[in-house]
Amino acid sequence: MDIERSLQAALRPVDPPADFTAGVMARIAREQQQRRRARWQMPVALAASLLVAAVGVRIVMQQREQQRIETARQQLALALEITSSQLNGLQQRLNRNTMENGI
Amino acid sequence: MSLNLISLAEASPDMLPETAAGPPAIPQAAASLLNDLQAAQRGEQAAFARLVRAHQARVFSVALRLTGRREDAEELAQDAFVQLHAALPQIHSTAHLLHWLLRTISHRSIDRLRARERSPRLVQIDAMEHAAEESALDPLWSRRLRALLAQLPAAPRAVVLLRFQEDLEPTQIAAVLDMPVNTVKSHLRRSLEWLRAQQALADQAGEQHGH
Repeated sequence: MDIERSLQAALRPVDPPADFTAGVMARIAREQQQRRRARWQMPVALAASLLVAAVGVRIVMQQREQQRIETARQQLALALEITSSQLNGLQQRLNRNTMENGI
Repeated sequence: MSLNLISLAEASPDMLPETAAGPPAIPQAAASLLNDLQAAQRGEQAAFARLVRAHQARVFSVALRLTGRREDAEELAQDAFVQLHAALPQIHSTAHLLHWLLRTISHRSIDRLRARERSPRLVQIDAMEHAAEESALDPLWSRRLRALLAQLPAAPRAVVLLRFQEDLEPTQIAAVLDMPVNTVKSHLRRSLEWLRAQQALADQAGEQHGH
C-alpha cells in the first residue's frame, strides 16, 4: 500500500480522556480566580505598605521630637544649675564682704 | 480538511463560490466555529468549551504522537488550551486559532521530547494508542507505522505528523514549526524514504517467514 495513504490512515486523531474539556475549563476557572485574587492583593498590599510606612515615619518623627524636647530640657537644667552655682558664689562673696567690713 | 474549510469561510466574499440560491455558502461547521470564537472572545465560557471540544482531538493527537505518553500529551494539550484562553484577544480568525494551537502544541511537545531524550529513553509506543480507532488499514501495519514514526527524531516526526495527520502543506508546516520550507521538504522526503525502506524490510521478512 502507498506509504502516504497508509500514514494518513494510521494517524487519525485520537480522542483525549472524556473529562478533558472539563479539566481545561476547571483549570481556567482556577487561574482566573487566582488572577482576580492577585488583582485585589496588589492594591491591598500596596495600601498596607503605605500605611506601615506612614506609621513608621510618624513614629520616627515623634521620637525625634521627644529627643529634641529632652535635649532642651537637659540644656535648661544645665543652664539653671550654672546660674544657681553662680548666684551661690555671688551670695558667698557678698556675705564675706559684709563680714569683713563689719556691716 | 477543516483548515481548508475554515480558510474558505473567512475568505473575502468574492472568493467564495456562488450558489444558485444567491449569496456564497459558508460551511456550517466553520461558521459555527467563528461564532464560538467571537463569543469566547466576549467572555462566554460555554463557547470556549465548544472550541476546546472542536480542537481537542487534533491537539491531543499531535502531543501524544510527539511525546509518546498519554499523561504528557494530556498535560501539554491542557496547557495549550489554557494559554489559548489567555491569548484569545489576539486571535483574529478560526484559521489563526488552529495555527496558534498547532504551533503551541508542536513546540511544547518537541521541547518535552528533547528534554526527555537527554535522559535515558523509555519507548512506550504500543501503550499510547490502544484507544485509537483503527482504520480500514491493517491494524498491525498501522501500529507498526506509528511505532516507526516514534523512532524518528523530534523535528522530522513533527513534520510527518503535521503533513499526514493535519494535512498541512509544507509552507504551512514551515510556519507552524518556524522552519525553512526546504528543511520541511527535506525532512518529509527523508522520513518517507526511511519508512518505505522499513516497509520493504518488513515485507521481505514476512515473505521469508512464509517460505
